[in-house]
Amino acid sequence: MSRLPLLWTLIGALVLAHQSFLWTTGLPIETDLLTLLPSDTRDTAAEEVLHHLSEETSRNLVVLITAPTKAEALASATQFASQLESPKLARLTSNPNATSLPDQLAPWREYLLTRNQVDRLTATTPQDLTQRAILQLQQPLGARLTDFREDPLDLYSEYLRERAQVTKLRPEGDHLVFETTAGHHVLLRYKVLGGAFSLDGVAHLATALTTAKRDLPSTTEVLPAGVPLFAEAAAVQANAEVSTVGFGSLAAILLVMWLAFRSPRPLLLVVLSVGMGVAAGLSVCVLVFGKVHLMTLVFGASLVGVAEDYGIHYFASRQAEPNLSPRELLTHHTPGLFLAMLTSVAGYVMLALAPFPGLRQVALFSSVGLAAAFLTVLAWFPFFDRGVVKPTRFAAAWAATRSRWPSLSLKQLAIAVLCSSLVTAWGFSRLHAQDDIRALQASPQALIDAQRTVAERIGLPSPAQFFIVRGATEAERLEREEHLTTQLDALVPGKLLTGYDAVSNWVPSPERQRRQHELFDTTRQSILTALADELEDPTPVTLATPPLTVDDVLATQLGDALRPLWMKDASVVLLHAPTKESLPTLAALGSLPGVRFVDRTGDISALMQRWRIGMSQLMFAGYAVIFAALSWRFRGRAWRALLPTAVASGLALATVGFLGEPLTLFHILALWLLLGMGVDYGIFLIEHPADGGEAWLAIGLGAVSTLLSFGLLAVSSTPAIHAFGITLGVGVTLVWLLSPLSAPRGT
Amino acid sequence: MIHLLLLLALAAPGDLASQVKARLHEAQVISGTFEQGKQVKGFKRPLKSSGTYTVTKGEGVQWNTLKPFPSELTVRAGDITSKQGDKEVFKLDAKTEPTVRVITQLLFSLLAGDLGALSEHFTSTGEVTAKGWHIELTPKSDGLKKVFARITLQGDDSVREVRLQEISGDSTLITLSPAEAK
Repeated sequence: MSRLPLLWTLIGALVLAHQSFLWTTGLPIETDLLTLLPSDTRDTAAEEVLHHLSEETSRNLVVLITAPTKAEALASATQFASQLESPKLARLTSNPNATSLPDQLAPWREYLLTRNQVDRLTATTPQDLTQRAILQLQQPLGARLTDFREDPLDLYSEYLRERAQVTKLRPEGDHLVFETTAGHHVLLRYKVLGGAFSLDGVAHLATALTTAKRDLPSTTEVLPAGVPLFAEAAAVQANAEVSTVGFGSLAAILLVMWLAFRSPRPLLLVVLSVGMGVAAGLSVCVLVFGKVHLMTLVFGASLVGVAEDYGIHYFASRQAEPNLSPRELLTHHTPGLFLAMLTSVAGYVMLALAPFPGLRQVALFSSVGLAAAFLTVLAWFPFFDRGVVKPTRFAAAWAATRSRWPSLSLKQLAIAVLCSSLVTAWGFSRLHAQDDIRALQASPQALIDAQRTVAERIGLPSPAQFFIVRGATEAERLEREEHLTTQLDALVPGKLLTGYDAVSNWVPSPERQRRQHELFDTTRQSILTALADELEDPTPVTLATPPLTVDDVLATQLGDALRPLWMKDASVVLLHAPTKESLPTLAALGSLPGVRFVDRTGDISALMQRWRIGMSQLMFAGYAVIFAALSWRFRGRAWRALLPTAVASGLALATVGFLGEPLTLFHILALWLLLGMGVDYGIFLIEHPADGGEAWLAIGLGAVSTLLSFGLLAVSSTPAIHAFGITLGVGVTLVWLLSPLSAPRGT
Repeated sequence: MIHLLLLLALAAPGDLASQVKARLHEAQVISGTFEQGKQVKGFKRPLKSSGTYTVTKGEGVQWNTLKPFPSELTVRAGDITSKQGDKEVFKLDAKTEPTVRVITQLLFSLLAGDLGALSEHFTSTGEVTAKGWHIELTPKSDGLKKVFARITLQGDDSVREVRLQEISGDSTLITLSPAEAK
């Protein structure tokens, strides 16, 4: 005990040094929404793919300019691009001097045919093919990409034309243009430069975009899209929420501390313990995870309202027992405080069980923070707190309410429990569960709408459903992709999806290339032979290129688009606009050899549902364990400490039902936290049945700040954090008010 | 002074176009017969074909080859279709292939002698004489530069001859005989 102050001072200095380093170099904030998503350890392949895809897109931002005419769209795009000045944005333009794709792929053209071309060539007679070759030559403006003896039907032009239909975008100058029923579009592409988003509460990107479009004609529509905008919106929102929750909790603590103790010393010391808790939690989080997630910061701000408990208990006891020295007092109270700290930490540890990275950070942050606040009280309070803590009228009046609070007889308790059970049952009957990925993130509706519109117009692939294809060799992988995509082709006419992105679209498997080359060769030979009389020389002009490989294609202009799809030991087939009705069919295709279907939305919903049900069922075991622990200490009175928490938990969930909010995993996890904290109140009241009410005062002061900080979480626009807030806000209030009812009355 | 003004006016861009325009007979529909000879690299003789054509302002071009075997080419703003009898040989849709608009516009302008529209894609030199006019077009845009070395047009009150010189060495000579101008 005697070495603790010194040791803790040393640790405090380290934390302070680390904090000043963090804040001067910039706190590493994680804004990637994907890291919030639960990780299913059984699905590492899907995780890798998602991580890979998100790496590729996390910095990309596009702006879609739409106008009634192409000239207007181009003019607006040029004006917008010149107006958009942000040191964080670099415009991406294709190099007009780069070798064009037709030239880049030309060496392999004898291997390249679309599936439609293969079908047509196979179905047409040699005579018809010859006539078609002549007919093509006769078209006015019938310019060709190849010489007649190289490719009599100019199949390569046709191939490129058919392949080009995977995207509507066409380069024009340094713009990408296309047209839909909505009008003429120009797509501008940007990359976001620099490090993490600052938490200064200013939407720098959004502001720059809004400023740049200010002077455009009213007929021009500007739609920005991309992950960075969502990340920025989340950062701005988190900034506001961290302030609300953090400062709101702090103000509550300062107010109750001032009313109860009327002296700056208790106030400053409690703030010191809370500050140490938050700083240590943040430091450990950065050291362990490398970054702090926005969700951790918002949730962590509520730690202010929980970590103050130990300091308040200390001063409430000091006020009640002015004759004891701080050191004697602590010797007397440490075991109780330690037990209370452990049960709260245990509650947070339960959060870490669920496979949600965000929750794990919250759990670590809060556990470390609570322990640090507790140790600060133990180590530093006796040193700094010299003098007396005078009684105040407010404290006395509050303590006195304990004796006026009704304490119910067994019969009355039974009736009360029965009544509350009826209310709970009524509330439960109105609950409906929802296991939706959207609970994790609430983005501004305008951003979601813009993103959806842009994705629809450009034809962006779905990030939620895709296939993973594996094979022992490149050849096998491509063949398996082709098996899959042949099946996918069949779904396009039925509008179950509009298309797909796959490397094998551009690189046919070696076997298919062999067959296509053969078909190309026979077709060419038969046409040249038929026209031998007309030609100076009927021998075909052939290429001697070896078949096209994936590496060849990745070295072309297509590389940027295809590289994300081709990973070391697996490739990805992305789907364009798969409908809800297509999901069963797509899932069935997952049984093809080497193919796996991933439905992220479905998987995450299933995972959340599994954990919601699992954690609910486990709750009974949790209560049993806590009951056993309490029985060991309080024997037959153990139920009195546990009952208020159980009743409050039921009523808190019932409240969710009455409010008409959907029940999620996060409400259930909040009940675990409530179990860890709520039992403390029961413990204190049973531990001190005969005191003058100082335990009641400490509980009351602690509960007010706790329920305030959790209650403030309820204002969060992130549904998951809101769920914690509403459950804990209602729950803590109820436990606090109900605890005396079942506690044995003092003499 | 007046001479200087005239010289300036003559040198002004668009002057050639307006002079040619003045010579051309304004018509909603031009139709007639064509003969086409195409010299394709590797072929001993030019590939000859002939047939009828119709150019309709604001609509497009109908190009019906009769010899050596019949085929129909319909060029409209929104699509290009080629048919042999009832069988569709190919169809290009401007919705999926935006360059269709360029091709359509180009063919229409060439056959109608619309130099104003052609100046978007070509620089033009030439002369207008009492007998008729003669224009040489050099492509401006990268896309067309890859295909055409130059295009020459010749005519009087309508376009009589279109000569296309391709980068590949192939060349096409189209002779037009408008039957009537409405």
